[in-house]
This record gives sequence, structure tokens and C-alpha cells, in this order.
Amino acid sequence: MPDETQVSQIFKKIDSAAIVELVAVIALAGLLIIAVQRVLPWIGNRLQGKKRLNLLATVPLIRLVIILGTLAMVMPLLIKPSIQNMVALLGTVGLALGFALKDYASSLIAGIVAIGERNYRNGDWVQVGNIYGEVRHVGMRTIEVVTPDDNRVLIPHALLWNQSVSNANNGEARLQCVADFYLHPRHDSTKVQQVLEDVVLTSPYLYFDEPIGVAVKEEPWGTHYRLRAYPVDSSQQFRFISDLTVRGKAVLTGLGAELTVTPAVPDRRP
Amino acid sequence: MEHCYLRHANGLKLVRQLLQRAENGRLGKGLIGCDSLAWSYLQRLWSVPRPDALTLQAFDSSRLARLLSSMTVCRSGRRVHFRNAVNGNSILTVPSEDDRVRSEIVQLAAYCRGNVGTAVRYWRERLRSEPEAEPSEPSNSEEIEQTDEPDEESVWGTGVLPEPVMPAGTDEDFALVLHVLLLHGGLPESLLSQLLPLSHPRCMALLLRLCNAGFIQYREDRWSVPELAYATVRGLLRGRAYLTDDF
Repeated sequence: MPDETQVSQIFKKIDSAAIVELVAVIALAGLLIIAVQRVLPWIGNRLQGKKRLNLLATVPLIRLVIILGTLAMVMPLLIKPSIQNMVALLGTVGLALGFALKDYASSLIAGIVAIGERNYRNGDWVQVGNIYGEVRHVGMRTIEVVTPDDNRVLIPHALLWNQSVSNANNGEARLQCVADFYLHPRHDSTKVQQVLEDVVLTSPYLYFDEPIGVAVKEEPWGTHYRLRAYPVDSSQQFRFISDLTVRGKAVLTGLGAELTVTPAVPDRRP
Repeated sequence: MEHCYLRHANGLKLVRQLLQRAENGRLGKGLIGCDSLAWSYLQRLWSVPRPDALTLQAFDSSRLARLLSSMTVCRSGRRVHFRNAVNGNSILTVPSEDDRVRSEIVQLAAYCRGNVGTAVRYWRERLRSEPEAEPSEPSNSEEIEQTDEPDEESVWGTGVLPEPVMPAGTDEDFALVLHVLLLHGGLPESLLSQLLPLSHPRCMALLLRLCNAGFIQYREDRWSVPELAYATVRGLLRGRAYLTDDF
């Protein structure tokens, strides 16, 4: 009986007017969130470069503000706003979440941290584990990533706690692309470097205001060339790399350089 | 110089030799002309500063008004008054009554970024009747010249700048085609598929769609961007962060 009395002291007496107000506030917040999540990406996808990314990045922030604002409006309708009541309620809810919905709560908190730290935003190209793709939506519990093969992958924010996230463009419109070439060691490296630079400079996707480079590394099986450059837009990365690879191979073949082929050894283990 | 190279790994040797000889002074004294976009690209290939490179000063509104006045031939001896056909506002009077430059000339100069070639082309395209033309059928009062005052004849111009509209479903390939055409000052269709990662049929389809929309024209065996589309195309490419000129 004392417990029931204490609980009843925490909550307000809810009448029909309070219920109507409660439903109206939650419905309005839901509509606002839906509108923000639809309208801003719609506008953002019609913009180019940095403007697009900046606009897309505001979506989860605005949603978080709406949710916090809604909670601030709803709580006084349900409970008597005193410190004791708030501590008692939050402690109870926290305990329940801690036992029953531990992973869900962990993802929610990680989502708030991710939005605050801006580890990834809409439009970023991220790698989490073996998954690489463009962030299309930063939700409260998960991020939605669309891979180059057009697969939609939902990754819980909770992975942030114990896994590294590689962000290729980090809010910028462009990201570095690398095209690899593997050549037989008998060739003129200086000449190859020059022609590979020309291959980059003549690509229709090249963004000229970022540096380009040709890195060379001698390996036991041959010479490894890594051609680094930035495309005009991060969405062109695969077309850019394909273009560099196709034209680079054609030019290197014309130069007389021999591409290495690693022999495939069949696995004879029982 | 825009015709001395191809944006291809095997197409830069000639222009590099040319620039090198010009740098060494082996070409002697002379003047080399180059399109502004091609020059912007060549500066990335040959990054030696050229303090002696000159460009035509941008035509501001007063210079443009003087140029347009000097181009106007007044055969009847009367004053020629250019007016906006939409609102009747005065655009230009030849000979001029005062030094004031009308806002439409200011807008034209700003829109064309001081590029005199495109400004003159826009100006001509906007005119709806010639001063000496006599209307046979006065069906449309806006299109005929009016002689309100005996010592003045009016020429009417459209109120909006004639601009092409990009085809619906604009994709990245349109920008690639327009960019390569601007960098080379026009190209024959046979070279497009060698300079772009697109097949020949795809290039032809894009060329025809762009041509129908008024963004490119076929002239002297080359596809090129006409003056009336230049400002739009440049704005499109610049908005997408493609390499453009600095002025």
C-alpha cells in the first residue's frame, strides 16, 4: 500500500483534457519528424556537394531537438514536476531498460552520442566492419547504409562502443579514390609514373583542387602503383576508379609494361 | 590553343611541347590565343606561372552600352530607342541623351560576366524587330516598331533573356559531354567516345538530346556550346564543381 501511494504521488491525475493534449503533442511531434525526414532529404538530394551534405546532416539533429522538446512538454502532463519525482521515475525506467532492453537502450544512447560527435552524417561514405556504403539515414537506434550493390544495411549505433568506424569523406563533398596497378618489375618506373599522372589529369571526373599522387611500392611479386585522386563528387567514386583503371591499363599496355598475374594455387588440403 | 590538345593521356604531348617552346622563347614573338576554359585546364598541366598572359577586360555596363550604341546603325537619321516589350521601359537610346546606363544593360553585363561575345549575342537575340523593318500586318502591337515621336523610332526587345532549358532527368553524363566540349572549344563526335567513358551510341544520344534542348550546336563539323547557352552551361558545371575558368 505505501508503494502504491508513492507511485500515485508521482503521477498526476490524468483527465480527458490531459489525454487530448498528450495525444496532440505526440502526434504533432510525429508529423514534424516525418516532415523533416522527408522534406529535407528531398531538398538535399537536389543540391550538389557540400550544401547537400550540410542539409542532410541537420536531419538527425532536428529530430533529436523535436524529441527532447516533446519529452519536455509531455513529462509535466504525466508527473508532478519535482526533483524527487523525476529521480524516482527516471531511476525506475532506467532499471527496467537496463534489464529488459539493454541493447536497445545502448543503441539509443550511442545514437545520441553519434549525433553529438558527428561521427557520421547523411551523405557520408562509411565502413563499419565489412560493410561499406553511403549513409542515407541516421536513426535513433540504427544508421541506414546503402552499399554500392544497392543493398540496404541497418547498423546499430551500439557498434560505436567497441568497433571503429571509417568515414571516407567526413562531411566533405569529395573523398580520395585509389586505383591500383600491378606491374612486372622490369619497366621504367619514371615513365610509368608520368603516364599514370596523365591518366588522372585527363579523367573527366577529376577534381583539380585536391592533390593527386602516384605511390610506388616494390613487392616480391612485382611493383605496386597506387594512383590517388579525388573525383568531383563522392557519388562518382566507382566510375572514377573504373575510368582510371581502364584507361591506365590501356596506356600501360601501350607503353610495353607487363601487368603481373599472381598464379592461383589450388588448395590441396584435405 | 584549345584545338592543340585532347584531354587524353596520349593527347597532351603536342601542347606541352608548344608551351615549352613558348617558355624557352623558341617560338619567337607572337600572340597565342586560347579559350578561357582550355587555358584553365592547361594551367593544371603546365603549372608555370605566365605573368604575360593577358585577357580582355570584362565589359561592364557602361562599356557594353557604348559598344551596343556603336553597333547600332541609324539609317534614317532619327534617334533609335530600344524598349522592353513587356513593360515599355527604355533600354538604350542611340544617340544617347545622357550618360545614364539602364538597369537592363547592367543586368545583361552582369549575367554575361563581362563576356562581350555572349552579351552581344544575347542582345541580338532579344531584339524582336529591326529599326528599318516596316511591319506588313500590324497584328501585334508589341512586335512592330512604333513612331510615337517623328524624330525617333523604337525597337522592341523581349523582357527575358533567351535561355535553353536542361532536359528532364539531367544526369551526370550531360555534364561530362558539355564539359569536354567547352574544354576543347567544340569537338567532332568521333572523338567524344575516346575522351569520355561512354560508348559512341550513348554519346550520340546525349548530343542529340542536348542539341534539341539548345545546349549545343553542330557547326563546321564540330559540336560546340553556342553563346546563348554558355552562361547556363558554365553555371551548371561550376555548381557541380567541375573545372571552369576564373572569370
